[in-house]
Amino acid sequence: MASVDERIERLIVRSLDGEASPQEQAELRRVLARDPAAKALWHEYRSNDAMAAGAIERLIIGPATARTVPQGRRRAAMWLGWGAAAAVVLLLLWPLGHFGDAGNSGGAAVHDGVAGVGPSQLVDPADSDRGRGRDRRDYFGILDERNGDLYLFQRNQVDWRVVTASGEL
Amino acid sequence: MRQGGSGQSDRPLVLAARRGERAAMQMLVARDERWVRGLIGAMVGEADAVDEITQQVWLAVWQRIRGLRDPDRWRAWLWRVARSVALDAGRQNGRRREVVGGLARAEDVPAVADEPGRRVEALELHRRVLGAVRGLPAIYREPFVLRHLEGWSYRQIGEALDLPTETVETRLVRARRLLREALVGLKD
Repeated sequence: MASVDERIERLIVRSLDGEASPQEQAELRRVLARDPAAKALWHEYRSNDAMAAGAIERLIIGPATARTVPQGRRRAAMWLGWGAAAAVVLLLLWPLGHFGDAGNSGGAAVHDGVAGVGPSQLVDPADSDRGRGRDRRDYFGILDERNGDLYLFQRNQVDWRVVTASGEL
Repeated sequence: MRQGGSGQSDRPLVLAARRGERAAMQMLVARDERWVRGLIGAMVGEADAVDEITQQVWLAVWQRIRGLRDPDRWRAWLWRVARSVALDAGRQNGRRREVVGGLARAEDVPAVADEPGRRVEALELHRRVLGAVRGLPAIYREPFVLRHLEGWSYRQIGEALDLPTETVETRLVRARRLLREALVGLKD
């Protein structure tokens, strides 16, 4: 491919990046109309940009996101998961009257803390994906070692929420 | 003052997070997680490693944010912390983790067709493109990823990377040139 003047190359890049002024755009259109090498470069850069953007996007939002909870934090997540599982059991049994007053207060405390956080997603997010095809992992946790809080970041494309191990939302 | 992705200034959120308000920290994570994750992804290339490092980054940010002096330079500060955490993690993992080098796994590649041949081609294309991006020197890779992942202007990229706008432009031109050399013949 014939070489392209560096100023034209810069113009091409500015145009692809949306940084070119209307005057620069007009100049580039004139150059591309008369210079096959410049036009080829413009097409090549645009094509490479599209491929790279797709690859980068795929890398960060691919199905493997939020798969791993580091070993040290997994223990905390596991305890939280067991708490959530206990809360679910208590809530299911609640209408059946299987618990007296003591069960009532205990269930409420657990429910306020972690109910609604799926234990399978916390303990082993990979397990939660089984049977759901290529669903993304929706949680990852951060353990704040200063106070023992486990922050659960729930990713659902547009927003996140934080749950702490102490139950504060 | 710099604006966040939603068009609002980061300053009130950063100030609140610096005071220890978790809701503010949560909103900052929501605003900035994607591009930080993108840059880390382009550094380490492996989705599982990205997850681990991203967790470490936000924990480090939460622990260090009281030391952030200028809230208007939040993104530049955030990326300095993230880059430092990612480099440390890379050094620690170096002995026990074989660096995949951005090579895509089969399940990470979108199914373009049912035919095995097409899927292999797509995998190879994906692998080479990611490898080429990852192979760019960091000074070119970082603005390139921010431009393509977030669609940021040169000014926004400069704020995040603490660079003059002209430098961002020069590096993006150079990144395109290097990427072109790396991808020569790929589309033939």
